[in-house]
Amino acid sequence: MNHNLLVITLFLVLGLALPIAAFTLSRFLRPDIPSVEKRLNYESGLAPQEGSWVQFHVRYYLFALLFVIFDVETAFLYPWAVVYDSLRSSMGLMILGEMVLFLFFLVLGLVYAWKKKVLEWK
Amino acid sequence: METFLKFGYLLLPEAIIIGSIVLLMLLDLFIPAKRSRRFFGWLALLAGLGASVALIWVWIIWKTHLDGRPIQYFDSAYLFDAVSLILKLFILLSLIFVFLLSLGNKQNSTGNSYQAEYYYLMLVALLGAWVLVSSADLITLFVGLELLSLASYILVGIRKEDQNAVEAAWKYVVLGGVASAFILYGMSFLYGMTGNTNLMEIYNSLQLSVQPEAILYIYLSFFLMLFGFGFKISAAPFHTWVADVYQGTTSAMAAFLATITKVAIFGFIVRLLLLSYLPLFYRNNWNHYLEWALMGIAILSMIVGNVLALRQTEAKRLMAYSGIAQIGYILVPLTLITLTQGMLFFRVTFFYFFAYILMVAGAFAVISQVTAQAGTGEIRAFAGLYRRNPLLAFAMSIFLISLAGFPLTAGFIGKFFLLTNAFMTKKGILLGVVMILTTILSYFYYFRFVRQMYFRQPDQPERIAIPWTLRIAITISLVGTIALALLPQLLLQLLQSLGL
Repeated sequence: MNHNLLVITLFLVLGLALPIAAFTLSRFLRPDIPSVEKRLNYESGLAPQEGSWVQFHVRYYLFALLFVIFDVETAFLYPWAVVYDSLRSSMGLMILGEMVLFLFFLVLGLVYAWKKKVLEWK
Repeated sequence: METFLKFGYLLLPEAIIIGSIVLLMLLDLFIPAKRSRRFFGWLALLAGLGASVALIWVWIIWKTHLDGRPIQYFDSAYLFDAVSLILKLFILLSLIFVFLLSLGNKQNSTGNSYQAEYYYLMLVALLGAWVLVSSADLITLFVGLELLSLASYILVGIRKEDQNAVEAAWKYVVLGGVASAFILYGMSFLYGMTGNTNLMEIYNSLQLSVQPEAILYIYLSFFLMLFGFGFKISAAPFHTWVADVYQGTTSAMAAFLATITKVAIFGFIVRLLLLSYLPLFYRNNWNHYLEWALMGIAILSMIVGNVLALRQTEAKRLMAYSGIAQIGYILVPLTLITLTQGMLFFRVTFFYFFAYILMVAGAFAVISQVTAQAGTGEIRAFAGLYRRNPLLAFAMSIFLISLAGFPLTAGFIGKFFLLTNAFMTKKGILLGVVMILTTILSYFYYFRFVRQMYFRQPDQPERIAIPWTLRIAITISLVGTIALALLPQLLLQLLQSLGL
């Protein structure tokens, strides 16, 4: 029991200490020669156009959500396609039916967004 | 998969609900925007009634053809057994009450643009609650939980133009999200230590193959989940959001949160505890810690709920705090489950839940009409209700004294069962005493409410008219509350026939 508690305390302490130690250590170890380019925000290797504290239009998030629909679709479709043959022999056409059902519900989400005029940028 | 092909027809109620959600959604999308969406409520009610017919049909089939043995679908990720069946019925009954409340009251409608969403999101939440009470797999459980929670976040704030509703929804989203995070974190420990998401498989590996060093993490996982569920079921000390959310949202939605959410979450805690954790708690003598933790939550809920309810002047806030106290009462048998060996646990708890649903739905039905007419949610609005509509005042007093646990009502019988269950064990005596004392305390505010209705002069003298849908809801819950008190053996025999 005591041993157990020790492990969990250690876990807690390590979880707190690691990020603090990492940031502090790297602060002392790294050479500190700032230049204008280095102080820029990192934008995938491109020079940033303006400040990063701009407001995004709320529609941006709606598009992001729509993107997730298709993202999830592929995340499930791909492994499904890989094991399709082996499952086909054990489950029959059920495996196809399940995926069709899944796609149907996803498309429903798209139809909803479409009819609610999310796809129009006004 | 074979069980699904063979016994899939037992999931007909779920299929009806899913089908109705899809149909209502498509209908909402493709009828012209100018058309009134008021009939969506009736369609949703129809879907609810259809699902209840299907549920009862499925029950009879299951009882007669399959001898009532539990059936496991999808590698036992989804169960069909007595517990899930009863809880599904409770949830569906509550939803039908909520529909009747929403249909009866203009105040509860949301403006034409969101009428349709309001009703089909209720069905989505119902589906989530059903999944929550019938699955036995961590992932499925979490999906059910989120289906229920996300739908209710939207429903709480669906009147976007109302500042209070937006504030309530915001609080509910933030605290609900934190609670979900706790639950998920707990689940991750459980999965990490056992390598399985299925509750029965988890049980097996907890019995056989867990390293001694891992045991503490497993307890940690349970207590993390207990935190999360404390939030969702609104037990003290996790109760701070409840009153604000109830006050900000509509009466129908408050009734929804007070019944459906609580029943579903309670079903999940019970399943998690009984299917996975309990043997381990026994074996390592941790059942004492479990008892103390649950006992703390139960006692705090009873005390905090009842004491804070004393000072409330707003009807829905009063119901919120009284609901916290009720959860404290309901948690008593669960607290003692290791001591009573689970004896009568389901019968006692389910009886109380049924009584609770009836009286809470009835009380919210009355509150929704009276506050809508008065334009304020203050208890003052109930002054002289006896003169304005004697029958309504009578119904409300029955619901209130039933909540208080006064004789000749369902609440009394339910509380009596809870108390006998508590007094079976030595440790339960403490709980029983707290329950009796806080019940006496609760008489103050329940009877102050009743006094308000009978002995005060009304502010406005005109009669209160009740729409017929509300009248149905009130009649059903009134008859149920009294019938359950006079003939409690009917429900008990029913539960017994299910083997609970």
